[in-house]
Amino acid sequence: MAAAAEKIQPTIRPIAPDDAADVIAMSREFAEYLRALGDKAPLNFDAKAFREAGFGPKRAFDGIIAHVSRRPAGYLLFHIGYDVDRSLRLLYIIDLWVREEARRHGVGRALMADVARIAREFDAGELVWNVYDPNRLAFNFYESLGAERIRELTWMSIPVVKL
Amino acid sequence: MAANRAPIIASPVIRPIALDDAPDILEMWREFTAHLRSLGDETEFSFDEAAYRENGFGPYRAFDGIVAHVGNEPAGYLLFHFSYDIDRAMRLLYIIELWVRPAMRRHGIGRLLIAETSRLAAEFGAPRLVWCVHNANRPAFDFYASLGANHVTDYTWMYLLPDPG
Repeated sequence: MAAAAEKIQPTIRPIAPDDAADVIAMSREFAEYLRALGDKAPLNFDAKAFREAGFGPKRAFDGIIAHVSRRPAGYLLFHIGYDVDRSLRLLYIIDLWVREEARRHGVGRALMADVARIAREFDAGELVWNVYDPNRLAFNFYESLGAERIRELTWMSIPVVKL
Repeated sequence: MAANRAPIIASPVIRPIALDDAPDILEMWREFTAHLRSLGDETEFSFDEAAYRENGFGPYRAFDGIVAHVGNEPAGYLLFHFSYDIDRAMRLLYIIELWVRPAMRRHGIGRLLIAETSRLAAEFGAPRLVWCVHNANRPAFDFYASLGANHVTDYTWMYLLPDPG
């Protein structure tokens, strides 16, 4: 049995305004990865948007960040939602990314475990998120956690300017 | 030709939901979920007045909403919360539910609810509305298509129950 040279322990904590540069750098890697799979979404997220939407008066998201050996290793952004029919608070995961060099050390699972703890704190009974269809790695990861696909709903959107 | 339109006496009025709307919203919500059930939706429907008050008006507010009246009659409602698209650095308004009572249809109430919601979205700096439709809900698809809405086809939604403890 070859023991791993060193047991790497990720540390997870809430995001802070000073994490802007690290989160933006990681969100760029994530966006480039999605782009390589064919995603065409424009990439406008920047430090200003991070500070304003994450820490401003009309806070749009919250998040947690993982470090391994004091280096940023991944992040997860979320907000709270609600399912009226089931009278159930939800936690929406907006983005989850673990840097390639930090993979296979349980960083993704540690981020998911911490966000599940936050969900329980908020009385949210379910985590929900969406996955870009060609993103096979993400499906494998989430399905390994026991996640299910929602097949009976179709998502729609419309720009406000069209209304 | 509008021969099959019921006469409507007053113009619809849209305003924010209030605590006292609980019985009206719940009555309309029951109609909505009966409609979903008839389409094959097997969700265990469990909204009630306590959940309306707690999640709509309590300390951790989970949704906001608007209600439409025609005269004194509740005619429809729309519940929403805000969301965020990181890649686009864009606030979103997420519509949780929209329902117009069958007897009140074909008078533009759905469009008015959507128009008021898009005004609220713009006020909040959210340039886009998003929502989901049960796949069997044809009238909903027809209505949203008539507004020019798009299907989000390249993403799959997933969910997970957080482990207890």
